[in-house]
Amino acid sequence: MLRTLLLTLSSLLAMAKQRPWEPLLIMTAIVLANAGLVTVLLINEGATQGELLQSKQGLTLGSIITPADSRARFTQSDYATLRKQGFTQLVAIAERNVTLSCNGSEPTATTLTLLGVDTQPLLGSTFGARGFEAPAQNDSAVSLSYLSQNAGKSSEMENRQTSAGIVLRSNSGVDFAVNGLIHPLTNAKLTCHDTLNEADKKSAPSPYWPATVSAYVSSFAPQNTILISIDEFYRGGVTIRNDKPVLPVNLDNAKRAQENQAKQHKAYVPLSGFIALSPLSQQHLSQIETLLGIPVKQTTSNTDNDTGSLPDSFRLNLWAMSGLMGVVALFIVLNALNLMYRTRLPNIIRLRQLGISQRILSVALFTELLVYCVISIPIGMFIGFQAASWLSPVINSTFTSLFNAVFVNPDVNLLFTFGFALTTTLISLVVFSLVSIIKLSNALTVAPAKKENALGQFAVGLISLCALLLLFIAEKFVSSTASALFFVALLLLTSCALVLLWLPTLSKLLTRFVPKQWPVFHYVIANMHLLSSKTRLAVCAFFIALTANIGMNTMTDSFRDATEQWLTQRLYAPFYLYTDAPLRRIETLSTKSLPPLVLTPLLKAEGAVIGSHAQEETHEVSNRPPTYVSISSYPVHQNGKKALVLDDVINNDLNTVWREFTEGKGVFINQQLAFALNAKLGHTLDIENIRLRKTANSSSSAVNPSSEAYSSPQEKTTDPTQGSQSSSSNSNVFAATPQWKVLGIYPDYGNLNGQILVPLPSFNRNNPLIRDQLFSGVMAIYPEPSIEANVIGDNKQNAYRKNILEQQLKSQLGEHRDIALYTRQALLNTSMQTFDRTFILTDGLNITTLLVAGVAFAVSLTVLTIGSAAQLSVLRALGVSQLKVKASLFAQYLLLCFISALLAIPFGVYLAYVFIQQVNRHAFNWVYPLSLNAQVILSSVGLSLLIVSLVLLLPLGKLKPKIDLRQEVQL
Amino acid sequence: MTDQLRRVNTTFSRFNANLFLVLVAICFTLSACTENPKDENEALGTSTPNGFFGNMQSSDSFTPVQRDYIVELPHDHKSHPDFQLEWWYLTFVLSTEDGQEFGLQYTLFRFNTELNAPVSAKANANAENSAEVNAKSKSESSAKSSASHSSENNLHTNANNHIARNWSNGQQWMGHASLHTAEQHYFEERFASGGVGNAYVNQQPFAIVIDDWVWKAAQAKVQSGAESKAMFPSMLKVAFGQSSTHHPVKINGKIPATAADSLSELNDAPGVIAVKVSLNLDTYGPFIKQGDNGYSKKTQDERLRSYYYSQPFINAKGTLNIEGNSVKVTGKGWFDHEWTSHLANSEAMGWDWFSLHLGDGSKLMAFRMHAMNKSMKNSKSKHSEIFTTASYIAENGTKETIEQVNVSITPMSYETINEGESPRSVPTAWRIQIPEKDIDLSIRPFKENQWNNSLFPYYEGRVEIKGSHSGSGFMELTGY
Repeated sequence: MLRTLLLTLSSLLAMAKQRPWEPLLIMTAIVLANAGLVTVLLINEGATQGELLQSKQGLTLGSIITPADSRARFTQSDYATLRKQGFTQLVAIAERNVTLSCNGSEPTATTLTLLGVDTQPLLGSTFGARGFEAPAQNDSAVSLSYLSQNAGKSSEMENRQTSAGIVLRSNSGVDFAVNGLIHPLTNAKLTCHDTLNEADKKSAPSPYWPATVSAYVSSFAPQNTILISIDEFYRGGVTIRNDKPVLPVNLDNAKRAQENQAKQHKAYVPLSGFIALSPLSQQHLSQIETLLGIPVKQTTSNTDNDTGSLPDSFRLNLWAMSGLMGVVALFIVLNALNLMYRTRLPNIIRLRQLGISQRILSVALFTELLVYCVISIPIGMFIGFQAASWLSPVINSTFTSLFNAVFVNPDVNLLFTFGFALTTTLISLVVFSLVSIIKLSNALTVAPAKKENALGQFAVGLISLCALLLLFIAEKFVSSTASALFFVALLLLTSCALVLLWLPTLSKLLTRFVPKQWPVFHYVIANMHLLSSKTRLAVCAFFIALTANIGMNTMTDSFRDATEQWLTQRLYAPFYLYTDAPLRRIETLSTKSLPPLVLTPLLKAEGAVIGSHAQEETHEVSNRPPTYVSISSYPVHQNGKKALVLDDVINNDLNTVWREFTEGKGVFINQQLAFALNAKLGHTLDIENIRLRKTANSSSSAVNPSSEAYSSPQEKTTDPTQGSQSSSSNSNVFAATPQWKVLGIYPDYGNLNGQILVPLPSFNRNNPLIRDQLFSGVMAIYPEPSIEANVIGDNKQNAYRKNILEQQLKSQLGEHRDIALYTRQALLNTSMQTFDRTFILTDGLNITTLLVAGVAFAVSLTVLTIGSAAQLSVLRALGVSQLKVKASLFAQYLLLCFISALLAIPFGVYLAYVFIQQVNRHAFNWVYPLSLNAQVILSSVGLSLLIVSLVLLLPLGKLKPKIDLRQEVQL
Repeated sequence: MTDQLRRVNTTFSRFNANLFLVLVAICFTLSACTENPKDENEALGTSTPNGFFGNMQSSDSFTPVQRDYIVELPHDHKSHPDFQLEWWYLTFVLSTEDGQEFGLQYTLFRFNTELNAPVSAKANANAENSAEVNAKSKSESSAKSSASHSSENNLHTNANNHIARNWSNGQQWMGHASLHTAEQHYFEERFASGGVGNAYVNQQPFAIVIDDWVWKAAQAKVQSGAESKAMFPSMLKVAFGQSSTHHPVKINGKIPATAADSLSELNDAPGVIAVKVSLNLDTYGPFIKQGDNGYSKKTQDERLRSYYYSQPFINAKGTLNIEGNSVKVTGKGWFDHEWTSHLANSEAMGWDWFSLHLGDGSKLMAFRMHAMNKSMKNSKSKHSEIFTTASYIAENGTKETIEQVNVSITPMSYETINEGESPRSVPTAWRIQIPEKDIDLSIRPFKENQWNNSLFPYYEGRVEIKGSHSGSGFMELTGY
């Protein structure tokens, strides 16, 4: 029995050796599928771990207590006093910047914050019980005990710590060892960095903090910091006591003082504040004020991550890609198996005739498959691992720049992965081999020829009409993102079915038109009609790929057009300044020193919209949760009017509307808000809870320099006293509260939230404190209208002036301020670059889908040519040259593809429309005009046909349209 | 605006994901195949310390415990920072008029964390004694002096000493507060750096402080002179523990955005801090210097040893506020003060320690020290050397040290403690026999599971006494 099996198996393998192409194809498919699977598994694991890291509540600098007066500083005894009074949720922190470099070379230097935290209270049980370390209990507990440990004996720690970090040595002889923690992402950014220097003076090697920091990777640390114990922070020359009789210590003075003292090997670094592990109430704050005798404020930064589910979407993308890869592999395997068994059929029949039972035969076949699996899966996995590690840095940076999220190199259980891959592959292989075996055995049994019951043209037309009607009806029911996506699926499937329905009809029609004088061509067309039913799967794949391709490209193109146009119009000023300087300083500056230029700030506030109602309707109390919106200022000068892009305006009369807007008789809302509220023009919004913005400065933002420029680098604080007042009264935010009548609806691409534009003069004009807090950090700078003509349109002059302007601003605002001055063009360029970069991903996916289709086509063609060998040999016998036969076959397939491509165009456009009007509308609450670009569509079609024709050339080249009669076995 | 574009991009990648999901779904319906991704869970393991204080290294550079030193009171109530390890230990057996029983523990530990510390530590000693510490300048100067002393030899290993500490003085404080009611256990552990000002032991007037946990001499009795160093009468005010009825704080997974609100609510709500203890302490007997005039050997060869004195005659009276319910309590207390440089290493594997208030007014302190000696270390044998001793304190305050041969402390039954990473078997029922004093005690725990799941987890709980005497007391079991 076993011997028979072995013999059968060896004969099967011998057959494989005889025709190595099919087994190789199968193995390639397995390798491909597994490589994809492993890559995706690893990358997803990395993303999951990264996401976990980010969501894990490490030490959030969420709520920080600082003196209200920026010149005042907390002292150590203040800290002791508060803790002794029961404010045990407060933890002292101190920070200063250090530079890390590779071997002390300056070009590699990056600046991190050295953050000293009093880790002692965090070790206590209260901290643990509060749930701060619930998911990461081990991690942060270990991290903390690590920090508080004496650095000398970290060996035990190294064993326990999962990920070792880096060792940073300061440039000095005598040093002491410090344990530190570093965030995984920050660690990932550091490569060869091993030298630690003071940030303020790179040249003089004055080691007032001669430490060797062993930084271990832990998500407990915030990003871009090295977290150490405050005890180690204040060592060496770093003191908390200011020996000099008190200088007013604001930031620049502190720096100067630091520099001065550095010369004496000493640096005075005051406490930055106290982290409140749980937010303090107003009562608590006033209690603290009485205890310390100085006013304090609580800065609460919103730590809600904008990242949200973004790694999620990325993961979906990856799974989709691996799914596609799997489909590719299965197509290949299916066809290769078909081909292989088809060619082996005569031999298998001989084996059966030799008396080998069906059971043993199938077991042998499966064992053969298992052998292929065992050989190719490790190869696939190896390639997968390689790909993942090659992609990791790429993905890492993608994650960082796009999603502001973390990606870590994952640890994956090798054995588990192998087992998983083996099982999955083998099961699908067995299933597919069964499919082809059944097909074969069907071929072996004699079946009466089926009558082809082709549908009449009328029926085809009717069915397609019904299907289209059904689609249009279904579209009306789309009301959410999920249903929109479902509709996309429905659309694709329906169109696919329609194509299958239409292909025979169309080819038949073609046959009728082709004159019989060209017999070969006529044969080609007629045969294509026959083919169309046999290549269903391949045609479907091609069609879907192409439809999706056209749909995506058209959508992207429309979006790009819309965005570019919108941006070009909206960015009206030649310069935009991003700064952290308070508004009052900038405003005084404009009047003093930059006479020909006008500065318009962007002010922002927050509010909640309960609902909207038309004026005549009685006010209806709705139970809907309020929609949070941001309220932005909009300038009322002529430039602003020109720059305003409105989708929809009351009475289509921009001038009237603009006047009403400037007079405060109404506002503009963005599309998102209009969709969310179902608000129409002329409606009035019910807005409540207008307040100053919370600090949007999360510790994880601003990872790469370009994104840093986008997020306003504002140290915006909500003074608790003022915050609570302003939340109850609008009068603080607005000088004159505008009427909340919707005058127009404007597009606001990319924004997920509602926004309301309010005329700039409506905002508070008198209270500089409130204005500072309203100020978003963005400032439009444009020349006064009189000299406008000189500036715009002269790029050279622009660039020249930009430098000068930057210099001027720097000198006016102080060197330490973060200033980023962008020209209009630069902003546009960066935006469009970011835009294009994102859609590279789409291109990649597009090509993948097309390749699937191509490969499917190629393999099914190989199988088909075996079937049509007889006809081809007749052609050859009739004297048709080999080249001609090949060309005719090629033409056949290309024609098939061409017809499906023609059919794909309308469906692709329809798909693009659905994407924009349904998916986009429901997922993001905004739409944009669909712009049909013939070039885009044609390039999609052309590219796909090119790919298919390239793929087709392969099997066609190998084809020998003559038959060796000795080999031929009639079946 | 560019900001928004960035969002466009991110939203679009979501969009891509959705689209391709659809595509894949279609492909799947065409080819009818599935793949099941599985998530892998990571198991994290941590080890447990094998000695009470883990594997702190002991160092010759700490001041050793010597037999010729005479413990002097009240002078030695103070902190001894140049010793590696020190603790002030209060335990109380308390009851209300209506018969509710409680076991209360309040302990302050001090560790000298400087590996090669003593030179500067000695200088810090003075600073440590004063509440208004001016540790920074002193430790700075001392560090400088020590730097100049030892800069010749072995720069690198001693490096930690050269570098001045400007935040703390190298001492670490750890406070434990624990209350056992019949049903509940409230426990809190706190840490603080010495020299910062929120944790210290003050000699004059006597005060032991970590954050807002305060044990200090009663104000009324504080006078000038030697009297003011007195430990008693004094007040103990400790508020600790998480309310057992408030559990929403322990959220699995990340804290949602709203958690901050709920936290602040919790913090404001009455009863977040579960237990508020306010006790007036007075004594009715003398301090007892354990061992040989305060020199207490922990092994027969005296390589493990400490200075150790007790005050077993404490009357406690005051209120316990447990989750908002205030009850008046009275009871007996026991105070231990011990300092050493020889216990915080891996040789000291743990001990079984008892402080018992016997029914006839006498007191009994007894312990079994588990120690490892060098030969055992090498052989990796699990059996340790056990040293047993006891102090019998008569009602009138006369103390008698009971030598190892005359006392037997035997575990009778074991309890499985399921807190922490792995279950542990801990002997919680004991028999203590001192034939020459006609003592044959059966010790039973006040309740099950009196485990302090702290950074150095240990058993600390009230016990009830039966047998030749009745009574109650405290038992501490470490190293399990």
